[in-house]
Amino acid sequence: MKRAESLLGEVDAFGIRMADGSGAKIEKLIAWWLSHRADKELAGLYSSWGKTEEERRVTLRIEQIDASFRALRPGHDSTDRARAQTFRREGMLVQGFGTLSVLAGLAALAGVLMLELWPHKIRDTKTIWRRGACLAADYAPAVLLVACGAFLVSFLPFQRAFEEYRAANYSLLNEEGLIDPMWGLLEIPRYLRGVNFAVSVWTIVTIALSALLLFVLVRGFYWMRGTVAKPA
Amino acid sequence: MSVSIQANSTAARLARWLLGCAVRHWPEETRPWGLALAAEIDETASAFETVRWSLGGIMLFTRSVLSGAWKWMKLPAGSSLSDGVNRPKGPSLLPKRSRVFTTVVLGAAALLLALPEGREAILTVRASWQEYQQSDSDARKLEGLADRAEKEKDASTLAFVALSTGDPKRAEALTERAVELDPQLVWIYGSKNRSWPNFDSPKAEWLAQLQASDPDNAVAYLLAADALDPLRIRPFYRRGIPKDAEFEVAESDSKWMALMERAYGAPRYDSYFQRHYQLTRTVWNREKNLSPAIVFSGLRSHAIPSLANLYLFADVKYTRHRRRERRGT
Repeated sequence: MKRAESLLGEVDAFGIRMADGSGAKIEKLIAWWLSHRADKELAGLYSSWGKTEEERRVTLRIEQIDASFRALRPGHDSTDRARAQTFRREGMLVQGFGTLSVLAGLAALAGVLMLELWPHKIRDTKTIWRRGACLAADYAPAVLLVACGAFLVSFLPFQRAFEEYRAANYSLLNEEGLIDPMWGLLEIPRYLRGVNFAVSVWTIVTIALSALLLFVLVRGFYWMRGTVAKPA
Repeated sequence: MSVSIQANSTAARLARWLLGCAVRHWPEETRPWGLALAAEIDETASAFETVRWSLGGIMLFTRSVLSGAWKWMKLPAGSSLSDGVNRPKGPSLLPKRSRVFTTVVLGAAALLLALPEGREAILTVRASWQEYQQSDSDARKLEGLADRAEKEKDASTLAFVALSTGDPKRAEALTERAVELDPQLVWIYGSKNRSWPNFDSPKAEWLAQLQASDPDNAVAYLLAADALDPLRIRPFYRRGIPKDAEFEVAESDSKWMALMERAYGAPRYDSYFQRHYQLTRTVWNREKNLSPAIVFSGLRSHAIPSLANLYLFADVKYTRHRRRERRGT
């Protein structure tokens, strides 16, 4: 009996040591899981031996582990969850303004270069191209400046989080302080590379092509009807 | 005397040639002035006067060019100075904003992005599109950092590069160099997963040194147990809950069992993650231009003992306990 108790006690004690000494969240979770399992076995053992006092003590410990376990699960702490969500929202803004800056920069470059390198060719082209080049040269630089400003302002929370991590002088660091902002920025790249986005794009393309086909068929049908109604 | 005349005449020839070049490129609007200057140069009495005349002409040419450039800058993109004379009647076919406006606005945007905050934002966003995987420029940056650290005998930066680089051979060399310079950094022997996201445990001799320097720490034994043959453990769990026979297979590996026993009995558990975190923080604080991809990938590849091994050993213990229970001992 003592031997069985000591075997389970060893696993439980190891779990406690691991939870106390580990730095990464995953290690803590595993440590508690090990302790939890060992304590459950111990509780069963005490119950079969009729040791109610010991059983009650171990059951209490299992409840404590459960509470710690729940507290460490992603999204359990409302402050942490709110912080992660804020970073995700701000990450979308950063990515949005960053993309707008790149597009505006490219448009400004294309507009100005088209007008400067081929001024005569551009004047001879169709009005829509000429107008497009002029609009790009007129407004894209201003849009670029505004987008760059907004990009930097929206990046400030991330910069502050990195600065906080770099400046921290406490020994026990909170990994979420660094991980949350980094994950927050991944939201849009992951979505755009994900299956959902590909499905959405192909759905839109399929619907658009089907609508075009329908339009061509209907137009062709009416055109044919008109031709038949008016014989030469 | 004859040498001086020769020199003077060479200078005069050079002055004439320079003015000739200037006249060839003289802006259209003030070209008559340039032509007049060039015509008058032959009227100068001495070589000195020729040089002075030529210099005056070149000054006038420079002012003329600058004034032309400023006028050109004040026009919208795509238009030229000659357009003012020959512009067709009708609606404007050119942008509304001047080149000065466009240049100033583009310059301001470039300045914003060139600020340290702007560079950090660009680096971070670029890294996020690569899912914080190290790019070639990150690898070059790390190499530069390692070279500088090697020159300065900076063990902690060498350790940081060793833990962050994606090149396993380079990581090995840098790890050994860092520990050689500062034996306190022996913990990095047990901190690098050499083939993240797969598991590749640290070298056996490193783990032996780690066990010797940190004998109370369970992690050194756990990593050594993982190194025995990590793939042997996983199939047990891949097929669902392992059976007693499989636990007996694990139990029969005396070396693995001994290491796991020592790990479970060790008074401390420290996977050195906090030290890795602190080291990263210190180096990043010194090197603010480091890409977050370097920081993140380094932390992500930190070695953590195999969780399957931990489960398996706990399961082996429970099986022993149940076996004893069945026997009633």
